[in-house]
Amino acid sequence: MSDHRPDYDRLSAYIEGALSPDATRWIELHLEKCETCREALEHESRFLERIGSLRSIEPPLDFTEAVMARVAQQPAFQPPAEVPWRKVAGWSVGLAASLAAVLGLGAWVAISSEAVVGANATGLLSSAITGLAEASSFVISTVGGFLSPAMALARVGGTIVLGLFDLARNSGLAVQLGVLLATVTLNYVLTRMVLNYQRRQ
Amino acid sequence: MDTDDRAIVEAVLNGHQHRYAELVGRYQSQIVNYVCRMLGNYEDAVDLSQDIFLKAYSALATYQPRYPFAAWLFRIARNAAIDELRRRRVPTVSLDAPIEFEDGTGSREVASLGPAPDTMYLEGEFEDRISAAVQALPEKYREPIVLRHAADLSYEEIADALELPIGTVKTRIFRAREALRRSLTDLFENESPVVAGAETS
Repeated sequence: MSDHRPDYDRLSAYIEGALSPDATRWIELHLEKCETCREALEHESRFLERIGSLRSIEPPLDFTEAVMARVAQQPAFQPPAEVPWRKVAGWSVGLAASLAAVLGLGAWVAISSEAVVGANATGLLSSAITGLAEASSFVISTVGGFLSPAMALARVGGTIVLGLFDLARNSGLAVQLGVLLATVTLNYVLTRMVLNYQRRQ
Repeated sequence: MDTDDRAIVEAVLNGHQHRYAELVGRYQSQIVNYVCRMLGNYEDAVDLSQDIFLKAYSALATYQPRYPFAAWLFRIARNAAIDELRRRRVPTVSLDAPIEFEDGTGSREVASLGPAPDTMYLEGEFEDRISAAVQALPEKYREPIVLRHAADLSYEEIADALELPIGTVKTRIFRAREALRRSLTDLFENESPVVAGAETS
């Protein structure tokens, strides 16, 4: 039997499972060879069990009903009519800016392209699509990137799409439409990612 | 469990008032035990516990899901219990303070809170002694020990509820247990002789 005084704080933490794995291993090794601490552990278990009698009080059987009767006198919360602002904060402004900028820049690119100078309707449409896609990418990669750290993701995505536009510029209408579709999809996916990120905050 | 709490809160906030009964049912025992050990009176504790659940319902829209619901609820309970204790507080005098008599200064004679040392304890008496010993603790030690043993909260939940670092919470709980071991020595004498030397190594 050793002559040291048991560390009751550590023993109670051990009983409650509040020690780190290393501390738990240490105390278990110590308990194997220390009778004093084994007795103290036994006592501490009984002590904590006794203190546990503090939670022996039972609420009345009709406690919940009594509370709910008073709650029922309060007006029920109304479900939000729209998506709560928290869920759209951050990117909603960017989205509105995106739409405005896409329309504006798209129109500008279409008007200033060679299509206007003398090409046919397909060329005009082709240029308009490319312009819209480019403008969208521009907005994603700049406005989105500055709104929040999470939207830096959008910036990366926007840069990738911008590269695709350069490839698509000299391609046919179908490829350009495909690129536009990819832009919209990417925009949606990135928006969802930002939303999820903000929800976790 | 806590994810469920958040889901229930969301349902209540979406207009499903009746689902609040699930939260009341889940926490009623912990709240009543906590309040009862803080106030020391069952009827008052039940009344105040109902008020606490009503206050929590009224404030439910301010609950932030990133925090555990239990910690948020116990912050409300704690404020209500402290307010009630302050409201009741009457001027007190130390039992050890000398008292002046016409023929000189003497000391107060006060009946012991507990039974005579040679009394055999029954289960209910054990509880009463432990409860009285907890009531006698200074508030800063009583609160965490009651939250741990009467409300069965984890150290982390207590730290959140009391808005204290977890290290401080552990220290206060360990000190409170140390004080209880000392004040309840006679209670455990028949069970184990170790308690008399209860100190940390």
